[in-house]
Amino acid sequence: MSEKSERTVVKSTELDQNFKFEVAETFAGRTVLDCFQCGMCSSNCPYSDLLDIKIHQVTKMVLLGMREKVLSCRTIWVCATCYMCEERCPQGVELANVMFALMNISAREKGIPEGLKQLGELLLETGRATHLSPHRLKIRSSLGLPEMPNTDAAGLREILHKLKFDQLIEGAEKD
Amino acid sequence: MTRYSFYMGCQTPARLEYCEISTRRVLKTIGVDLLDLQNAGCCGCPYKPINYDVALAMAARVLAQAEENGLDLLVLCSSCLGWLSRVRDVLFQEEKLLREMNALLRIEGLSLEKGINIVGLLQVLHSRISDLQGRVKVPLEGLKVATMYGCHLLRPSRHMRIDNPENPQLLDELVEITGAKSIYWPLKLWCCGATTLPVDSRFSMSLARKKILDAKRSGADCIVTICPSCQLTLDSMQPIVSKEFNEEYDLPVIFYPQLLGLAIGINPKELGLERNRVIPNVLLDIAGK
Repeated sequence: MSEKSERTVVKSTELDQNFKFEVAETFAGRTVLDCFQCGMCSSNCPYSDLLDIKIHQVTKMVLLGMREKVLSCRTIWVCATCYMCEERCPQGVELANVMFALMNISAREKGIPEGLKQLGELLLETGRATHLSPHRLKIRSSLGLPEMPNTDAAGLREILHKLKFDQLIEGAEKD
Repeated sequence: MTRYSFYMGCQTPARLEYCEISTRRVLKTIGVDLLDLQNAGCCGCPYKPINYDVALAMAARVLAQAEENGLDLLVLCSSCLGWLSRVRDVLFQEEKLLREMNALLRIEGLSLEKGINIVGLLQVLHSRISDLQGRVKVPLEGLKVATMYGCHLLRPSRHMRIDNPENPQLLDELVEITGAKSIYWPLKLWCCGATTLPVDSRFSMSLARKKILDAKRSGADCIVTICPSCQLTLDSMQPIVSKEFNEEYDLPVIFYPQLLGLAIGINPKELGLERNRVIPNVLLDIAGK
């Protein structure tokens, strides 16, 4: 082994042994304990070369209890959720869903990336993930497209309030 | 006349009128009637990273509204299609979750009872493939096409069950009835990067770039998609990707109903073909328009 190679020493005293159960208890993360580290996910991920920490490493870190490192890594947020890993995982681990479970915990504790936070604000305001500007509506009518279906968001806002989505978005620190 | 509840999703009406206009025009021609889902809002898919329960509730809401209509639900965007199909499966497998969702839906007087049939545009068109083939008036001979399905239409296949997830063929067959040729391209199954756009635009664009370069290298005259999200990253974003990486692409990206529409003799204007970001001159030339 070359002298230059860096090795990460994981101190057992810094591990959170309950982290894997915390993830496994969420609906999205419920399959995480089934991972047996074959590496199929990372070798099939179209974007492994762009990830600082590969998908199978993220799951291993969850199983080991490296809570802080997992929740602040970039991989969980840039997963494009193409489901290639989930399709091919021999253990049936829902890997993209596990990433969502980790993103959700990170969103609560560390904040939400700015672009996603804006999407959240848009949802609370309009009930949609995009803004329908008067300009767009004008294009619609000039093309002879039917009027936009009603998009009154009052009822949806009530559901979002019940799930505390408004608090989550308004309270989120900027990335 | 077949009738469907129609769910467009958020991207199409806000950015991609040409996807909507070409879809409506082609479906009208072949006798498919659409009833727009009212007050549906977002399906929840983009909100999974923030809060999975919120995303589930929003999908449940769209499903419940469709159930009220009593018709099969036709979903335009592959991401909406994937998420709604998955949530439908999950809710009817997990009684506790279904009860929780119904408790939330009651706020708006909605409920989920029996589950509905959800279809994508790909299935609706492919189920009529011989009828469509008989309608082709302007064969697009010589056009080389790289097909793109949208990840969420194919995977995970235990929820999607539309096409072979490792070797999908339905769109390729639909392309070939127009007289165009569907070519092999190594990155066909890879993701366009749409979902990472709100998080890291440079990362997202590097995914789009890989796809565009691979299609070009494989000899494609254009990419044909059946997913508005892929249209957004590959067509609408193409000039921005080009600037970011300082490369020229000029690769038209066409929504399948536009290609089909042209082949069955519909006027390019009625298919929104002048609204694509990269003007598909190669297609218009072959069609002689």
